[in-house]
Amino acid sequence: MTITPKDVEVGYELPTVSKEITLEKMRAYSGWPRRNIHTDDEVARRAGLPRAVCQGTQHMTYLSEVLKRFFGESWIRGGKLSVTFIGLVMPGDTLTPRAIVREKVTEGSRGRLDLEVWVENQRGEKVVVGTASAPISS
Amino acid sequence: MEEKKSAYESQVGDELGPWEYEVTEEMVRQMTEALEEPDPWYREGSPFMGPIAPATISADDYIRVLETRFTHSGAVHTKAEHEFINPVRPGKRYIVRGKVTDRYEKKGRDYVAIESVTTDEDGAEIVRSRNILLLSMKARTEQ
Repeated sequence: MTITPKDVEVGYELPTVSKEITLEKMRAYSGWPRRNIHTDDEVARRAGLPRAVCQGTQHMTYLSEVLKRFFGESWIRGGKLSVTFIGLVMPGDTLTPRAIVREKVTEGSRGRLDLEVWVENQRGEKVVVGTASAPISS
Repeated sequence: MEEKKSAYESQVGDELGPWEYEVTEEMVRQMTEALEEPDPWYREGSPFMGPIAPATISADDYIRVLETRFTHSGAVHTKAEHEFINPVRPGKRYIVRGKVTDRYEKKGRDYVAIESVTTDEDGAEIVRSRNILLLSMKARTEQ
């Protein structure tokens, strides 16, 4: 049975999928051969970083896609995402986006789900934290 | 053309943009391949009458619109807020307008907040965003 946004209650965790981070994927996302802190280790070191780091919007997008797969159209038209990037992500990391329903607001046939969201690495460390919400309707 | 200043010289109220770009099918393909995202909405069709791009394809609009006036070498993205209003469709042009809404220092490091709105060529709002950049991982005393 397919679970839809209107079916879930507080505490429900959205289905997710983990992503392995490689320098190749970082470069593909961040515009290689453009050299910046996301594509070039030397540029990153000059900026005070240990090496090239994954662009925040890249791992934010992994989270957005989890939300889009669950909410569908109402993520594209009505989704809200607010995140803070709290940890560096580097090649070799594996990221898992996570989203848990924290509040369900309904008004007749319409409403919204409010979620706590984060992305964690293979060590269980959070690298992105935040909130998301999207409309639900019958 | 006015020479670009460093983002360190940006001030609250500075208008940014407009910055215009086209979302192409190739851009969508490259993004979804980089993300390993096989969703058919991005290739074949969607409930929005044709294929669309991932909602966050516009997530970097804030940095592009900042770049219309300022350079930002070494800056790190710290916070992002997005409200997705309409789908991004390949084959259309998008216009970004923004403004510096906050400038502050915290623990010896400079931050800039940028609010931006992306609209499509027909004037429809696509996304409203607020992003914060840490201008350098190095504190001022280390630069």
